[in-house]
Amino acid sequence: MTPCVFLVSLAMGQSPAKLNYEQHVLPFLMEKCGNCHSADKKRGGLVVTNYQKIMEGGSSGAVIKPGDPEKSSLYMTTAHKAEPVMPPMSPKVAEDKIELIRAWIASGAPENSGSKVLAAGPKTEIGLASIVRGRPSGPPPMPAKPLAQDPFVRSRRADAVLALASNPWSPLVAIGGQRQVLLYNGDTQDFIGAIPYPEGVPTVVKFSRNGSLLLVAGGRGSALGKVAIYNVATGERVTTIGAESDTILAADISPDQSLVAIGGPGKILRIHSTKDGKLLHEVKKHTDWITAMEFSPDGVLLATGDRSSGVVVWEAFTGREYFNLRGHTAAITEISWRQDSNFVISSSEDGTVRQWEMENGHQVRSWAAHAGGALGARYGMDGRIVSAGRDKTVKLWDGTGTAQKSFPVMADLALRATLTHDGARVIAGDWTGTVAVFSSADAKKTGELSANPLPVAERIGQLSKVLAERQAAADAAAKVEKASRDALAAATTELAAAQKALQEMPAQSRMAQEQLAKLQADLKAIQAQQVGQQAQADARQMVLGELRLSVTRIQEASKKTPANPAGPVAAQLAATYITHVEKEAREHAQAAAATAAKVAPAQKMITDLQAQVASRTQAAAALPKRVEALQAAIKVINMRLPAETAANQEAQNLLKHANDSLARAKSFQVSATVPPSKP
Amino acid sequence: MTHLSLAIATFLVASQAPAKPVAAAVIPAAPAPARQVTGLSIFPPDIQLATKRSKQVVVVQASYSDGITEDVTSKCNLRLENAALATLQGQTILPVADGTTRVMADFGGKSAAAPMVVSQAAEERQISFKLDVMPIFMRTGCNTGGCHGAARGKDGFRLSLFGFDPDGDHHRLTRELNGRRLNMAVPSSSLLLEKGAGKVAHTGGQRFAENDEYWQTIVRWVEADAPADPATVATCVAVDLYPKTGVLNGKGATQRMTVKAKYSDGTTRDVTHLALFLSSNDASAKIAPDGLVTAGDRGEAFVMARFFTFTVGSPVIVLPKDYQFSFPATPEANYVDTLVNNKLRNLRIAPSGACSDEAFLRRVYLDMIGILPNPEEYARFMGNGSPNKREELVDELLGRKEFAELWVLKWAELLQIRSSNQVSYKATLLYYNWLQDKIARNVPVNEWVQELLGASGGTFKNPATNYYQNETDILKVTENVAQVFMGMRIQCAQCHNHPFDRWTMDDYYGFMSFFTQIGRKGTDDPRETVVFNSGSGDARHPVGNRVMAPKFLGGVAPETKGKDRRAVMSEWIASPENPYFATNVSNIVWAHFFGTGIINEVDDVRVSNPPSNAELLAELGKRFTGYKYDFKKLIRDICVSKTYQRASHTNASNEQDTRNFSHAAIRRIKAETFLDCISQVTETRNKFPGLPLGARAVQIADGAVSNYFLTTFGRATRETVCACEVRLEPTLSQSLHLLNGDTTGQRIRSGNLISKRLTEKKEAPEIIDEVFIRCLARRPTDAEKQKLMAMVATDTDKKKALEDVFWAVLNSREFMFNH
Repeated sequence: MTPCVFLVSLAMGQSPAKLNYEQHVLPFLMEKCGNCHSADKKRGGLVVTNYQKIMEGGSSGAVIKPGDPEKSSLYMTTAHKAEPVMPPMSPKVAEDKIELIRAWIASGAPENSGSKVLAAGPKTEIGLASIVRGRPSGPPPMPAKPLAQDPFVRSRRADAVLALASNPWSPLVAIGGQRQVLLYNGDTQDFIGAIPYPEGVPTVVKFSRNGSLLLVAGGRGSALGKVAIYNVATGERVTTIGAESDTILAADISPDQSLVAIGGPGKILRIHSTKDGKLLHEVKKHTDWITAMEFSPDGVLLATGDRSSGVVVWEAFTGREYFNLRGHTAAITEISWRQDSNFVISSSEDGTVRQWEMENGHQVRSWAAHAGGALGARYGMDGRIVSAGRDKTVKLWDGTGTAQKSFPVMADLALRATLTHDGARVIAGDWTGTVAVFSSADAKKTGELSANPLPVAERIGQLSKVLAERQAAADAAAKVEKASRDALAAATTELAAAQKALQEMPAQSRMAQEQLAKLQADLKAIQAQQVGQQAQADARQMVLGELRLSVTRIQEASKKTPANPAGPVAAQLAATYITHVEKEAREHAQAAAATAAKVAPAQKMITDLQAQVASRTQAAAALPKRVEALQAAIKVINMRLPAETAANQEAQNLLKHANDSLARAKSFQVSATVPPSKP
Repeated sequence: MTHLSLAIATFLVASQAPAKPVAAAVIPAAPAPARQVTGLSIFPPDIQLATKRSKQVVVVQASYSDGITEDVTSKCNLRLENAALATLQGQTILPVADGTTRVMADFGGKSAAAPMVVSQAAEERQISFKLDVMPIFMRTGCNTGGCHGAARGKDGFRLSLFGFDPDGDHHRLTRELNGRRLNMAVPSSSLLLEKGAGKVAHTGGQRFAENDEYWQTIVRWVEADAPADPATVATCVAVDLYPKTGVLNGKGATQRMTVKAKYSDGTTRDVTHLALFLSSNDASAKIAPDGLVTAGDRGEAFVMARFFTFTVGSPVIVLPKDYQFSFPATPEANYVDTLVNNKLRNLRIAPSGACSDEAFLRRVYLDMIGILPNPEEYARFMGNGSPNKREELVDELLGRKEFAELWVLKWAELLQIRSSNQVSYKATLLYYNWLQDKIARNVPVNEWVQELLGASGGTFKNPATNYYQNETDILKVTENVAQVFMGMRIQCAQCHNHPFDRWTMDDYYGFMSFFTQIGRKGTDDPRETVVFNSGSGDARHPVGNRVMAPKFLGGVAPETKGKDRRAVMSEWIASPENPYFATNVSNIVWAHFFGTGIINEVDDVRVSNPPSNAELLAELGKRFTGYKYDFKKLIRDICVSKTYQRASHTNASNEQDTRNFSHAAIRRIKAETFLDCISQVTETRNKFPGLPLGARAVQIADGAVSNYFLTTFGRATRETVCACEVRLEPTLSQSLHLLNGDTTGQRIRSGNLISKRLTEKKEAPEIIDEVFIRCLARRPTDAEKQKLMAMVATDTDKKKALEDVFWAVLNSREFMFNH
């Protein structure tokens, strides 16, 4: 055994096995010779990718003489010891590989390491006894175990989005990346995790009809094509099927999960059993690369499309042709069945989406969906159709091809689009690698899913940043809402007061008038009283004058008649009387002065009241306007408040979401697993 | 036939074995004189390095006193005047800092310098799809016709053939099958690279290596997100291949080539690593993909570089190592001899001597008038003692009516005079008569070509219009005009840029626009059509559907508004402004007399098929123009030249030569002339449809008329304009027909020449002499005569024996060939 072979064996994690075809020679032959000497092309009648075929040889006879490398043209041409040298137009392959071939032939060219009988292949039991239509029982198919949060490959940017699918019964969205598939929650746009696909670049991702399995197909161009089936709940690979010599371009798993169909640049449709990966049917009918396929939801039929406009419907279990659907004039890009299996649609580079019925295989409808070419069209669970195309747009149609929505134009060719399980969202991918989430109700873009997510460490940083931003945003939103609410309260109070004032205005005005009239009457009475009192006082003064004259006269008389007793008596009497009148006059004058002092205040009261009435009247005139203004202000606040409340709520939700995401990412960081190496 | 005649035939055939080569004109090797370096050149002669990604491969070539050149790049003291501006890695200069300096070299006492400008030395150059990526596909062979350049592509992937449609290629690479060909995420795992580098199975094998220059360019482009070019991107406007010539000294000598492209923005780039190198003669000068020419056997090669739509070439001569040679004294009659001898001197080839009078007589009769000299003419010429008798004979033959008929035949083939569904027999005859009239009156070629191509009117009233009735497909008309009057095969450019010539699709459709306004309508006579100028219609470019303005092939775009476009075109095509017309007609005439064109084939003028003697062709064209397109004068120049009159015997130095006219070529006589000759010598008459009994085959007007003999011997069917229509290869059926068919034996009997001569009481030797003179324009040699007489004498039936002699002569190679 040569060192290289020994190493190969070691690398495969086994004890150094006998040099054999399956383990050692086939991988080399697949890589270097598989392009021409495959089961698809059979250049020179030789197939090297199958042990029996290679032992049979090609058109010019056997290529292997076990035990004699020098007589085996496989070795001689590869070693450039005989014409035609192989592979043609290329330098000689590495010496260790030539030695591998030589040693293998010399050792008798065995097929496999052990006994003559092939070790029984791994059996996978994922077939279903019957197809259950409608929602499967149990919880919605979502990964139950934590999946890898670190992407297995982080590239300079995302490649064009080739593979995109949404789970029919859960918000799960799968996006093909580089050597991996990325799972998202389409509703929350949360990154759920990455699933490794070390075979290469996935070109197809599909969920089984019950949503419990995820099919990933693809490979490495001109080298390898494999289908991998994963259990959605556990994220584990269930089985690997197919041995294509070029990347797979179309594949699907049957609804009963017993079959996997594969097509690609080989132009051959191959149907394998999921149980042991055995090839059940191999159909050579397509004249160009097979680019699209899907099993009907009832599992009876399989529709396939090719790069030269051909669409063929097959009986899934026999591989026999059922209908040949002619109509398209350019490459088929996607095929999708309606839930009832009665209609199938195909999108094509000719720009149309065509709908075919399965009674007679006739075209029912054809509509120009995308100028320049329709690159994808899928039925949603509700019978609506979403399509994507070279016009960079994604469009939503009803089941009859009537346009419903056109989503915002993408940055480059829109390649794939799918409706989510509930039809509420459309997920679409474009040439630049952007995967956008649209709301199907209002055709607005609500987010993006990354087909090239950051490593978890970087994502934590990013998430923290997002968290901080969201915290700030949430705070700001709360502040805005509070300010609005305060303003509303203040305005409401003021409005109530103003309205009250406005209501009381007539009564108040009336009372003021009455009061004014009373005050004026009082003033008049006071003035009249003062005039009366003054008159009394004046009258007393007049009497007092008369009396004093009388006294003088008495005194003069007394003098004249000093003894007249009447004189002193009369004088005495008069004096008494004068005193009395003087007192009265004084009293009246005092009363008049007192009353006169009352006039000024009374007049002031009137002036004041009048001013007060005037100002009130003015205020009353302004009141209705103020009320109006307040009412308008309240209306405005009321109008924006729900949005602000919602924004606040949303901000709070986002905050919580960010918190959760960060927590999840952080929790993963601890338990991060080692990414699988290249195959 | 009797055994006798077969024996004679065998003998005659044997007697015509090539004579021993004439004593070589090569002077025995003298001690090699020390070669002197007489010149030193640096290529490219001026160097521009712009941006840090640029580089320049420099080649230094020394030339020696004996004409040898040598690649002395590694031997000379190659250096930069200011070493701070650039670095020299081997023979590649890489920029370091901006500035101007010179590249210097010294060798063998000579020195050379080339100016060099370095600019933007620190700046990165924007990657361009058209300028950086597209050339890789041509260089590595991706877009050839056998691979992805095929009309339907290869293995599901198509590139435009030789890159005529870069925008389409960009689309196919980036967006036709999204995700298949390029991986925008991980550029180095793009299928384009994995297949090209042979990392995965690829029918085309490995075209480049992982991480080599091409790989890295493509990765850089994908890393820039595989952009298309802005509309303003420069285009390549010229390509230069250096050095311009090479004379390599002996097997194994090498010469590195370097290629420089000029762009529309005034910049230049070294594209040596992107150009595709080809050699016209791998046996003499093989060129490796990196541009290294390695000398092989003695000979001449044209090494070419193809880049963008340009093919440029340099002639390379390979001589035996230290070959000593001196050119023998050779008389020269006129410029033809001078120019031919100049070339032979360069090639170190000694020409053969002059042919005998007999050989000249037969040769010039067959070539000029298409019949053999009769015994009287033979006697007259042989008896003529004048030193100028050959010139006199040429002048005499130029005046013969058969001369005109032979050239009418030639032109009728090129103009495809042939009755068909579109062209009635009457129109064909009128057309033929029109042509015959022009040739017979010696109307200057330019005049009648202009009349022909600009013709309008009824096909009866103006028979020249039949030219446009013979071929009604506009594409074909365009191609035919280019092929017949310019010698260009532009067919390729209908669908893609010409892979080996300068013609692009723009040129093709621009030229086609001259023919898009041909109107046709019927007349009272269903056999006649009126061809007129419809005044509307344009050619459209198939990529992008642009309207193409009329543009002369390789010339300007004339103003055609309100004019008949064909008239404008015809005036240009048969004028000195058209650089190809005069040389093309000269080349056709030359090829008639030498069997090989100076450019061969005559209708395959292209950059990659250069003339074997460019100076000679140019001079012939110049003279022809100077003669006001009188081609009789041109023919006289050719026929009186010593070159035409050379013997067909070769010497040691010229036995390999087929292209440089160092000896006369032995040519099979073409079908019509051959039949005429047989009829002439056997005195029999032919009947061709539409012609009187006894008419000559060259007089057949209609290309559709033929007979078994003519078809067997390769008469042109005139279905295409190709020079290859007339087939001159010998075939088995030709031999069998002459041996057993009714053309020889029966004609000998029905012509009854032998009987007549016997009746005239002529003796057998006399009759044999006459047969030889009639058929071979010579008397039999004594040896021939002795052997023949010995055979005739033993036969009792004299007539039969002599007829067998006649038959044997007719079946001899000497009779069938013009030598």
